Amino acid sequence: MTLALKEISKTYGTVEAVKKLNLTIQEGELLVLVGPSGCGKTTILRMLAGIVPPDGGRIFFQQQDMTRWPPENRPTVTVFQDYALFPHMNVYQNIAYGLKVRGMNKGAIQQKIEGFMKMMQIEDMKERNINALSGGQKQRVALARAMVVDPDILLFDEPLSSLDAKLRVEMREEIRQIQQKTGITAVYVTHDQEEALAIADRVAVMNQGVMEQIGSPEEIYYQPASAFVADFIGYGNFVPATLQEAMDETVTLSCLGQTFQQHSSWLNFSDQAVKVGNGNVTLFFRPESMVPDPEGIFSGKVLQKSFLGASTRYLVECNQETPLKMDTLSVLHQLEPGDPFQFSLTGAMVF
Amino acid sequence: MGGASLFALLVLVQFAALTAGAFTTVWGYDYSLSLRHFHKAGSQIASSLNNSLYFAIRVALIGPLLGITAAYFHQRSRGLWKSLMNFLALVPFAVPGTVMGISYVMAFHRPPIQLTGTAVVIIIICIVRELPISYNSAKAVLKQVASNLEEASRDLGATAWTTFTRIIIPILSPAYRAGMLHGFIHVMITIGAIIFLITPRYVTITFEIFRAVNSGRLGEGAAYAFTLILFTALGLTALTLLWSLPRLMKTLLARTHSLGKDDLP
Repeated sequence: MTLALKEISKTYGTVEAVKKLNLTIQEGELLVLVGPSGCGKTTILRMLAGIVPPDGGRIFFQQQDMTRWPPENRPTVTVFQDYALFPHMNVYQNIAYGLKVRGMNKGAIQQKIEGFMKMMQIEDMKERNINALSGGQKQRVALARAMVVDPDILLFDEPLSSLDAKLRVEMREEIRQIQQKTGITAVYVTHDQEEALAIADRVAVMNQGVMEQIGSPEEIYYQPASAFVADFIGYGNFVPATLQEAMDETVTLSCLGQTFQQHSSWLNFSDQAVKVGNGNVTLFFRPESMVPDPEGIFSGKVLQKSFLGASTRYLVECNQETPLKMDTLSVLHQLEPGDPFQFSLTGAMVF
Repeated sequence: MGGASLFALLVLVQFAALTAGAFTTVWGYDYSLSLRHFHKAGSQIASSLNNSLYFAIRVALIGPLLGITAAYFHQRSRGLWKSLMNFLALVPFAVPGTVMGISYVMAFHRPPIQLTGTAVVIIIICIVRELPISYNSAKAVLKQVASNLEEASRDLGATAWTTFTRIIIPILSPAYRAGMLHGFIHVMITIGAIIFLITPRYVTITFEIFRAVNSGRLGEGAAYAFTLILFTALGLTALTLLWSLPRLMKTLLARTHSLGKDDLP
């Protein structure tokens, strides 16, 4: 265990940004804190960096209480959202800064920096002025500047949010590669759930200062602990349903105008759900769980079609409050707006 | 383009007329070259110029520090203090120089703070009048970057003091430079704010121009003005050179250093 947050809380004025939060970060893992803006994820990062003091609780680094350590004595270094590169220094001086203030001599600094500049593919822009760099290049300099001081923990504060979409994907893959190659422990904050799933060892989903769920990307996606997580991570459909009967082997449900029986493994119950018969519940299923099927018991009508390349997203009218989202592989099914069709559900969850 | 050249022409005509007035016998009647206006003004040119430079250099060097400090505290303070600070720093822009001059005479002419008639009060009023320039440029810089960069520097392992000397000061130095150059020019040419605070000992060159022209000695006034323009330009050049001296030394040193290296096999 590298980092441990115990009962951490922080209040800004009347807003409770973080509420008695517990979190441990394992050695060498990349933990992603994800959530909507204002959920407290950036506050946690700033408390780890020592920029913001917590109001209550403690932070431990390898068993030592570092709650009150000043930022310069912490084992953490941050890659900031707007990079925070020093405008009066060139690329080389920026990267050298952390080593320089640690009192390292010039020769050793130079030797050390060469390697990192090569790794980040910026070795030919040493003398370049910061203002003459593109967003992606600034990002690389910021990353090199943070990594060159050999921190125990690297903190990322939405580092890719000011890059364009394609570069964002490239950079996140690169960050993940470098993190795995160096084995450095990292905490990564983002509001982009796709980014979170793509690079994390573990994802922590936050909402209003509380940890909703923490787990591997697959766990978070397939077994969301709450309706909030299910809705925030990926896409999904919520429909009202009535649970007629829940036996050991089978469940009987009414939804989307049909009553049907399924094997009990078809239906997952979240921790929040109360497992009783004859109850009104909310049924949740992913867009890819809806499969066009001539023998399916449900019927719908295509409202809108968005061709995304490998997959196609349909909005399906099913007499619900909002149209349902359905994803299919483009090569398997092609439907046009206005087409009526039958479909089946491969599985669902109850909240 | 046409407008700009017309404007440039106007300025040039002014300078030409002034120079002609200073170096001819009688402006408008006798255009033979002569130095008589300078002779007539005599040692007063030197002493008043000396006074003007004395004030201008001090204000140029000290003034920006006050403006930058004010901006730094403005950045750090919150709520009502922040607005009050901003208001106080910008008031000198809004108040006419003469009004401020009279208020200084009234405020400082008897104890506990008795400064009327001293050089100190003139320096103070000039510094305060120059405050908004360095304050505003420092404020803009601080608002954009400084708190962010301060955090980044601490985060990378620098102490608060190292952060101050290596990040904050270099980032604010353009604001200091702007305040310094503006301050120098403004004090050299100021008259309104200090006219009631000047005593015979501290007569400035602008005051001599005023006096000469007022009593109909146009040529003498032109001689003073010519001297003033010349030395303002010289002073600006000197300050700019002084400013870039450290960097110049550094590049020169680096060059000789690398030259030495190249000699090695």
